[in-house]
Amino acid sequence: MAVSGATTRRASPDLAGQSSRFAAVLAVWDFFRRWPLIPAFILVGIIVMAIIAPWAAPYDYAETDLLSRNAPGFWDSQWYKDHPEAKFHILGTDPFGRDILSRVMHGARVSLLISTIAIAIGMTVGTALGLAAGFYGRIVDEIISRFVDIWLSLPFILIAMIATIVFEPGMRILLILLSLLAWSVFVRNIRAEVLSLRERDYVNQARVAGASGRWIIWKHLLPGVVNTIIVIATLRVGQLILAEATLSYLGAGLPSPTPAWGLMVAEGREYLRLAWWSTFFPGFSIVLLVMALNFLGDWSRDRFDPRLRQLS
Amino acid sequence: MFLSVIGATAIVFSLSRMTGDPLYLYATSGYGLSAEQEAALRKELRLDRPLVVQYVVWLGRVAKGDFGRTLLDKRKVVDVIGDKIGNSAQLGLAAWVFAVGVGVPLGVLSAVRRASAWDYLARIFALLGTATPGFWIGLMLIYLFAVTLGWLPSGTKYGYDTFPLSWNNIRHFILPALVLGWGPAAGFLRITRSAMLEILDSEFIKFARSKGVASRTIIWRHAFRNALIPPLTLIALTMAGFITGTVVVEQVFSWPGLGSTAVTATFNNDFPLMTGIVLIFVVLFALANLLADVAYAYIDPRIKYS
Repeated sequence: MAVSGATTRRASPDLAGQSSRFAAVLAVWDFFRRWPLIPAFILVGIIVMAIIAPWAAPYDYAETDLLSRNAPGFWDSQWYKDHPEAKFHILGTDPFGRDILSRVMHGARVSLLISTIAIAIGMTVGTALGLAAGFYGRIVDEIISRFVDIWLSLPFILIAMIATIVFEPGMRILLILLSLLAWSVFVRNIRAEVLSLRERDYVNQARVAGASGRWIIWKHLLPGVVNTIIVIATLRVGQLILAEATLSYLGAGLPSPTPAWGLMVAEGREYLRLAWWSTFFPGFSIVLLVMALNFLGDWSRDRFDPRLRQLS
Repeated sequence: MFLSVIGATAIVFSLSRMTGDPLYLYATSGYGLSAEQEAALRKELRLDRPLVVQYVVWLGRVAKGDFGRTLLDKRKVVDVIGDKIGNSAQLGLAAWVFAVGVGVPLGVLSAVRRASAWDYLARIFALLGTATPGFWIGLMLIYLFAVTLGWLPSGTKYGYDTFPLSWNNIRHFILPALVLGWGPAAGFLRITRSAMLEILDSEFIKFARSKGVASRTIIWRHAFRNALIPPLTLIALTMAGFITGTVVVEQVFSWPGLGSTAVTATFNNDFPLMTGIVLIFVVLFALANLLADVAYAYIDPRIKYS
């Protein structure tokens, strides 16, 4: 069961013969690598924050308070003494006077929702195409592989930017773009997996027994690639979140006043010198979320399919 | 591979035609164009022909270097691109040097000094590199080093010194190259580390040790050289990734390159410019991938191409 990443991680003396003083630290590191408690806590925490946001957030995320623009947070009580009429904002406000904490909480909803939907769509389409390409082979494989090659030869961000000139920036186009970003990884890896599974005995026997192609795919091949699907999905969600944040930052993602984290960083950029908190907190949330997801992705890869080691 | 480029151009072309009637791109005055003049213009621009023909014509024009004119100030797109591409290339090169120069040695160090502080730090470096968004870390670094400490400039490329390699000029490269190269450096670090770890466990290394060969010789002459194959292929593969990375980094640091031009073109709905830049990037992307394939085949003689 525990085919985890702790392969040869004991505090062994290194090549030059010195034993390490930081063995204890790394032992702790490896414990947390085996059981990803910290990333799981962080992820659960962010999910909970996203769920309770509409009720627990202190302010409405779009409510501007122009008297309290660029207000600092809990670290600068002097400002609040100087401005007694201003309402207290724990993490400060952005240049439009909107509360940062509330926007970060609602932003978690946005990020999680979009990336989940995108990975789900990408997973479904990518797996279907990968299965088809791997199983049916020849022409079908050629066509699908060519499509993937063409797509991978396009610089994603620029295509996304053009697409948002052509179509209005919004949730729908963003979801389409992110799904397109997600699908190609699935196709290639599932196809490779199917190519190897296809030659297995049980598949050949099913074929001899007269099973149709679709039956074989559904009943035999699909369960065989489920592990790979899970690993790829968990490894790629982080990338999708970063892509969504980047597009929102560039103005090609969700439009204002949606509290998308990337957009918040962009909005706070002008006042970086005066009010660093507008850019810091949303960005830091992105880092936390993606790091937690990456850790969990690595852990799931080590646990479910260590052959994918070279993937990331 | 060539087919991919053609397919990519087809996609870009069809996207460009989706904005609606392209007549307004070429006619200098949209108003007051009588019906006959409009028809004549259409015929001249071959807009009455089927879409495939238009595509071929456009492709021919592009191949000759005619990318049209920008919407904003009617400059030729090739001129705009030509101005900016050098700056982007310089930044990309600086970032690549950083990524290889920091990522690979740290990977070796991390593998050799396996349970030490170096390993710990290197893995933190790699983690951050893959999880932090470039725009955020760029802005935070600007805040830290330019606004608070005042050590480094907060953007642009111009130190305005005449000598191109003066410190005043070079210091503008430091932060953008760091941000652009961090992600790839993290990737190189991980793969070098895992390759080194694998090699260090192998028989011939143990034999060399038992023979009494010095540690440094073992690490560099025996282990490192053999561990180079995966890192080199990754380095070749990520060359293309620098291209898309420049879009964000240039925007953050106000770097006068193709990436920031692309961003402003998006804001201005400047279609011809955007299309031109994307085409250039597609070609560069394809070239980088081709180079990667060639390098891969060259480095590992076991690979044969049909």
